[in-house]
Amino acid sequence: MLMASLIIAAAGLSAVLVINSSAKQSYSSGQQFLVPNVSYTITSNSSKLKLTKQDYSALRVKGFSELIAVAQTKQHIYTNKHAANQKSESTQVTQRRIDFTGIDTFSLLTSPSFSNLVALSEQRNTLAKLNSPSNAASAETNRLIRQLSFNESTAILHPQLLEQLLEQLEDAKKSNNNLGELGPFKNSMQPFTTEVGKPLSELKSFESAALGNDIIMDIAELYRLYPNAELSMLLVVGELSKAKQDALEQSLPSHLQLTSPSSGEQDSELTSSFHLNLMAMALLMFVVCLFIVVNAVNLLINSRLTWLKICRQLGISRRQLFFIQLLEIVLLTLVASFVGVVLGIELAKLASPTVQATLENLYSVEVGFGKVSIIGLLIQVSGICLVGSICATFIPLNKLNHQLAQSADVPLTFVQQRFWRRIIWLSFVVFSAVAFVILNYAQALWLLLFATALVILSGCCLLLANYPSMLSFIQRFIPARFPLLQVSSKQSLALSGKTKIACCAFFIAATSNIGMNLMVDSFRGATVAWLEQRLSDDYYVYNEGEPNISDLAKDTGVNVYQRLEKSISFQGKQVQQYSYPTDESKQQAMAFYEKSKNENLWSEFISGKGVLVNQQFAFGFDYKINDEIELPHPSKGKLSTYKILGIIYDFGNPSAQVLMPVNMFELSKSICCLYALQGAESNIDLLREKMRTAGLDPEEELLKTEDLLALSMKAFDDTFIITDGLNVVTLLVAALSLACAIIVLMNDIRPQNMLIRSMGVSALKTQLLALFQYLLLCFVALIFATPFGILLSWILIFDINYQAFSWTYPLIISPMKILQIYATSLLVVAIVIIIPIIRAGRRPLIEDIRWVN
Amino acid sequence: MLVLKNLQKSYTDAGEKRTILKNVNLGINAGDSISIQGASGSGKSTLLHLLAALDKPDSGEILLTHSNQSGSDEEITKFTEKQADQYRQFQVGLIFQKFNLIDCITVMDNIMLPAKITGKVQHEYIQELLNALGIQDHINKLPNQLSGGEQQRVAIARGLSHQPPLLLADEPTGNLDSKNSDLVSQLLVDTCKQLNTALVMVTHSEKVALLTQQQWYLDDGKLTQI
Repeated sequence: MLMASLIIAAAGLSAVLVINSSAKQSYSSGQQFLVPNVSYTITSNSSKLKLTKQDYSALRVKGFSELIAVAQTKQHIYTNKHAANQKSESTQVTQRRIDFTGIDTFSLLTSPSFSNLVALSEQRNTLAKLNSPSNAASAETNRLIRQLSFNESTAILHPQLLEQLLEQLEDAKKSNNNLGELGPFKNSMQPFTTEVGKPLSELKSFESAALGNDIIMDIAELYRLYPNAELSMLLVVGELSKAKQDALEQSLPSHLQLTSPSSGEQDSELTSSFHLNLMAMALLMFVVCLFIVVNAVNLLINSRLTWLKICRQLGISRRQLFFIQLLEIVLLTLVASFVGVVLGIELAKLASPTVQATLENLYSVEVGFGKVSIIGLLIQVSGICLVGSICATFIPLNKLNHQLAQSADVPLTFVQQRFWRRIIWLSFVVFSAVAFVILNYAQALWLLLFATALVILSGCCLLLANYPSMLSFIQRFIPARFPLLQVSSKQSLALSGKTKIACCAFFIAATSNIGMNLMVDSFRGATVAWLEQRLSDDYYVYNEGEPNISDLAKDTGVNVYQRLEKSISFQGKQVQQYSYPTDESKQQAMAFYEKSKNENLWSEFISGKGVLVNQQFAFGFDYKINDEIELPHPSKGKLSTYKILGIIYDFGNPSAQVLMPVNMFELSKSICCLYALQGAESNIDLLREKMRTAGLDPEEELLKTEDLLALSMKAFDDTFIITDGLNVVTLLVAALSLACAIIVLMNDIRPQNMLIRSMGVSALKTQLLALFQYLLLCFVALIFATPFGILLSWILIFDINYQAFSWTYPLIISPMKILQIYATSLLVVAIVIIIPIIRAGRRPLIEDIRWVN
Repeated sequence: MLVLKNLQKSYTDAGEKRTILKNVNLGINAGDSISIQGASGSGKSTLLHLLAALDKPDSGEILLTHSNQSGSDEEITKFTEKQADQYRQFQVGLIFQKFNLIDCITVMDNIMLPAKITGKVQHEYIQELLNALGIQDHINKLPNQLSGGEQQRVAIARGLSHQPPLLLADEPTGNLDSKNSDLVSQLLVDTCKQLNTALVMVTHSEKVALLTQQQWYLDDGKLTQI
């Protein structure tokens, strides 16, 4: 049990450390695609005009040989199956599209900066410099790029991505018997194809965070596989002199822009709250596991007590016995840490698709795979586990020391009891006061999380201080005709004193469960209400490129509202300027968090005097209703002052956004990414036809409002899968902790159970009574956990969310949800504790009588 | 009320079969008081456990005879678990060497528990019992506030509170000093006599054994009357 809990703690911790470190590596090496020394990127700033091969060749002809073209396409991967008529058909293998990236490796190899890097990489002393996190240019990378160039039918991907693809292939095989004939994967004969059956390049795995989620190949190979792939950017490799940079900027056509490559800071900043939350949950699970360690050590000591007393009689000092036990725990912890780290790495691999999907859904950030240093991780995890297990072991070992010093357990005197009660109340007051101050005055996310921990700890103190009175209160409601229930409830009171730690673990798990569930429930309710109000049109099209849907919809009878977007810099940060239609129905559809009391809100908006901002903008830059802000005009670029007329809900958007009337935008100077459509079904069918003719896929791009709502809610639910999973695990671990405490206590309550059974009460009844006792303890813990859970969700919504995401939403306290959590928690506890209870109940009564007497 | 016929019971100890009761025969009538003595490990407690239907013999019978005409004799050794529970609930009271009182409830609640379980709460009878055992002043105390002798008197009251026809006491004075031992054993025998309850008491003490009507000795698996 001790080993199991330490392994769970170490595995959970290492999995989160691996996930977080991989994400960090992935952010810092984003947009590098194995290419070393990228100083700038060139991308298109218009949805009307894309980056083209002609742009690329024109720039290279002008002497910019540092430019390397990158083409990208998102595609599903297929495999061939042989149909009965011997014709081969493609079967989809992947569940989500994979990024295929093609690099102009020939140009890269001939660029002066790449040659320098190769020369440098051959010098061992300077190799370390090249391995800096932001630049994965090792000799191996260079060799791979050469290989991509000389052997065009090769592609590189991260081993974990390859592993995922092979697993998905296995799944596809299982669901489709015709695929059974495929042999095991070998590099030279890989089974993947494109949709039209073209075999993919030879896949080579290489462990580098710079690979991200992409399959990287030579650009020619990408065009062979996917002729419609588009150039996504040009990389500027090597340092640019100021003069050359100016020349390059002047040579760029107006639809192209030169930007610094993402250093990953923005992504890292955006997702920091997610990673912090993940770490907080892992630490919560770690702490709950330590509660099990306390109980397991208690159990260990109980079983060894006689032997230890003999040791004392033989003259072995208490100090020696204490350190021998401690040494044993240290050794066990080291072994458990090693096993936990190995399991944690595997767990991280398993969880990485979900984490990647969550980050993509929540922050629109793509996360790849990282490189894990097992030794570093082992040192980190075993260090934390050692500190934790020594702390957790100290309490029972200290108790043992006390037990070995005196012949019998001396109950606490009244004065001692009063002293401890006062200490508990004092702790409650101190924890609550500190938490209150932090929550009201601090802004750092880690401080807010610390305050949240203090709130939960204060709840533990309150529970411990009030357990007896609460149990006594409940006892009053048990009718006299159930004498055994009355006795059991009174025994619960005695047990509560002996299961303090386990009850606290359960309280923590229940509080976080209620808090997280209410938060997610409120968020869900707010999101549904917001989406239902905002999605007031019949259909939506997400399409950033050409052709323009408004043009296609002409003569079809479909009304098209296009949403134009422009990215601007505001107070040094990137902000979205978004167009918003102003007709009556769209005014009704706007979901306000807060709005100006001015009755002319919409007329001021339409006239361009005022703007609407999302919560992210208002909270992020600390603006309120009626404040004035200075923004550039979306089409003219001239700075003007606008009044904030309303703050709107904009869940899921990581960016600050300003809404302005659509007539202030010009299509040629903005990106169009979303079209809202209104029209009869027959008219929509006409548009569908036109979209097909224009090479678009209406089945995929044209979404009915209900489908979009369902899709959004699915993304929402997927986002919270990890939270739900960790919630259940924490509850399970807390229940296990309680089960451990029960095993320890089984010997304590054995005489009483024996006595009741000797009075003719059946074994089943005795088992049910034992179950009742523990469920009563849990029920009381749940009662105390409820206000703290509500408080926790309030803190999560109005403090943590405010700081982490810059949005809040109304807290919905649903009694049904709370009852559901009560039922689930009690069920989980019942399932876990039923085993030791049944085991005790199955023992023949005569054994108990002999044991007791 | 109980008839033991050719009871045989053996245990396997370290791979060796040891017969602990050999053809034990005994008759217990209502109101009888019987003491069973013997060396440690002679099988006294085992015999008591067989009488309480806590254990089953290898062979032989324990017949529960009913005084009224309507009830037929019942074979205890063939009881199902449910029947054994019912038997212990209504026919038997048990007293242990280690008192085994429930710490978290009052003396009164401890005493009343079997009566409440069987639904036979008679306050007058309980009051008589308390008076007879001299614990009427302690009813609101918790067990750990009482001396050993007082705790065993509470245990006796508890064993008798549901008015069982048979009280089985396993070394009831084993944990008491001689003064308390004399007092408690005398109270036990007197109270059973007063209530017409049959008493089977296992004891090491000859002095205690002499208080009962019949004294039996268990040696080498054989039960003989002294």
